[in-house]
Amino acid sequence: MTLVVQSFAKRYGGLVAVDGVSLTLAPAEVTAIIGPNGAGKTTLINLMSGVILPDGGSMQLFGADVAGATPHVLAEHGLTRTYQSPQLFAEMSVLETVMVGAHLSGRAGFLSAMLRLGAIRREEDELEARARAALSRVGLPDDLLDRNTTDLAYGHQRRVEIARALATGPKVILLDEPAAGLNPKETHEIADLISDLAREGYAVGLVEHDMDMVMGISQHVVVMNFGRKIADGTVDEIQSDPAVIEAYLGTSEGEAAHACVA
Amino acid sequence: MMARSFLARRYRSDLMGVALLAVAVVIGGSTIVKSYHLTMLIYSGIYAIAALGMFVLFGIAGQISIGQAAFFGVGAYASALAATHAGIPPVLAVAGSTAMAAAFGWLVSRPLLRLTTNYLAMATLAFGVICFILFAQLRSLTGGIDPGIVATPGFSVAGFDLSSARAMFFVVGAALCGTILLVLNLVHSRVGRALRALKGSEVATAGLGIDVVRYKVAAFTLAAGLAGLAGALFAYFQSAFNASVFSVGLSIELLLMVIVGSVSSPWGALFGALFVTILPTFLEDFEQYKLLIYGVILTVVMIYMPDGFGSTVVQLGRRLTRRTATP
Repeated sequence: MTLVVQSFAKRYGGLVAVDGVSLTLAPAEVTAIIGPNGAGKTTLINLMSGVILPDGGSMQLFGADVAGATPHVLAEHGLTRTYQSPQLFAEMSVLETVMVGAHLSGRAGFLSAMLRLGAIRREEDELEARARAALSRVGLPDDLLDRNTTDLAYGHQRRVEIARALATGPKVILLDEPAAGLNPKETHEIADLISDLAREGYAVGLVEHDMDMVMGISQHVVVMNFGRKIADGTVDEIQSDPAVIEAYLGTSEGEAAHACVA
Repeated sequence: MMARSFLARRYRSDLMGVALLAVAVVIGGSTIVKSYHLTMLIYSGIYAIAALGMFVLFGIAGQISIGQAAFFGVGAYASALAATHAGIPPVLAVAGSTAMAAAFGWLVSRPLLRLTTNYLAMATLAFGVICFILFAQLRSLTGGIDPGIVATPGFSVAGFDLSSARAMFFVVGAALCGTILLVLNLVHSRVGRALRALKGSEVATAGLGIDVVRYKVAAFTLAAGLAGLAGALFAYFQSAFNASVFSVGLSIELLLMVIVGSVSSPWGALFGALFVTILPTFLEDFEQYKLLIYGVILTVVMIYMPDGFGSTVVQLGRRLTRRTATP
């Protein structure tokens, strides 16, 4: 298994946001993490990506123990992510933003960058080529590359974020609500992209509210409620699981109906 | 793949700018007659070097410091003492003082950079005040406020006396050209992009495998080093000075230079340094209101021209020429 999480726990005062959750991410699979609002999905993805530290539990990435590792160490190990609201860099062009994603494949330090020593130019070209490849992978039009990321349409911003993640050369990609704020057509395109990424061998972790999308592209679904994992299985298993149906019925009829239909 | 992208084009036009600056230094140095004008430009150049360091720290990496005068002071005292007591050749003394200021910056950056935004501003301000008090009180070393440092020998290279205002103009001009070239190289590099990313979103930057603490520390160290370089040049040019130079006022001026100039282009630091150096000569009658006037300028610029006064002027110019070009 690529990523193994065992009994992750996170407490905020009296509130147990994530309570002993275990899950695994496998290569070439989309593993969705779903659950009603406040179930602890975002906390879980923040724990898995090292943004916050767990109070208990362990995590192995390709067999290495990485619980409590900082995000940049996890990225070096091949795990990266996107964010619920795109975390793009203001005042930076699309191409440069994705080149930041390719940072790990360069070596220039402060001094060599300032003196622009010999190999720097070639390295810059390599980083640029890598960024361009990632951008065309996610299908961003070429004429947007010199625009500021924050000036782009929301759907394009989402793509830039995924391209930036891909440019790190990851094996595991965690996507936090990649379809939030997108129209149905854009959602459909993002779903296709995610599905293709999994087919190419990436282990994809997906937190998403759009049940059509989740049920359509996931090989494996983890359901959370009140910080606990209440179900874990294939799409078919999840859809017929009484605990899941109850969790959704218990919170919102609309969402429950949606989950059942899907 | 596309032939050389817009990034290469942007870098090339910046290099062009450095070449133009070098030409301007040569022309200015050989044609400016009034020594008063030379002196003002030398001070502007010296402050611009420190402001470029501030630009790396604040403009690129988004980390504020209101304590840069401390590193400016370390550079000035180190080179003055090296020249007067140890008789170290000026070029070595300047290089050594720059390294010393950078090392000092590196040392204090770890605890300081645990803080962000307003807290970082307050901590660096406090650090600057402490250093100012030390400069004023360590009289055996610095001479304090009175008499301060007197009669630092003039600048020279390999025995050639370069202490005249005209010679110092070329020395400072060369140092400035070199500094802005280094900073531009940094901006257009993997490291510069990482620092800009850090300013935009620290979390996302770390998530891409960038050790944000290390980069912040390096930016702080570089800013301290450039402030030290400026301080060393200042000591040689000024020859006699006292601790009052390195008060919080100087730290605020350096920050003002970047904000007034531009937080997105290193060229703004040159404009800002010139502006802040020359402005007081027009406000001689209002000396006691200087900080108040600075405060007003800072507030107005930050509200109405968040990208800097210099950038706004350039953009305005561009818009006007475009309008006249397309009737």
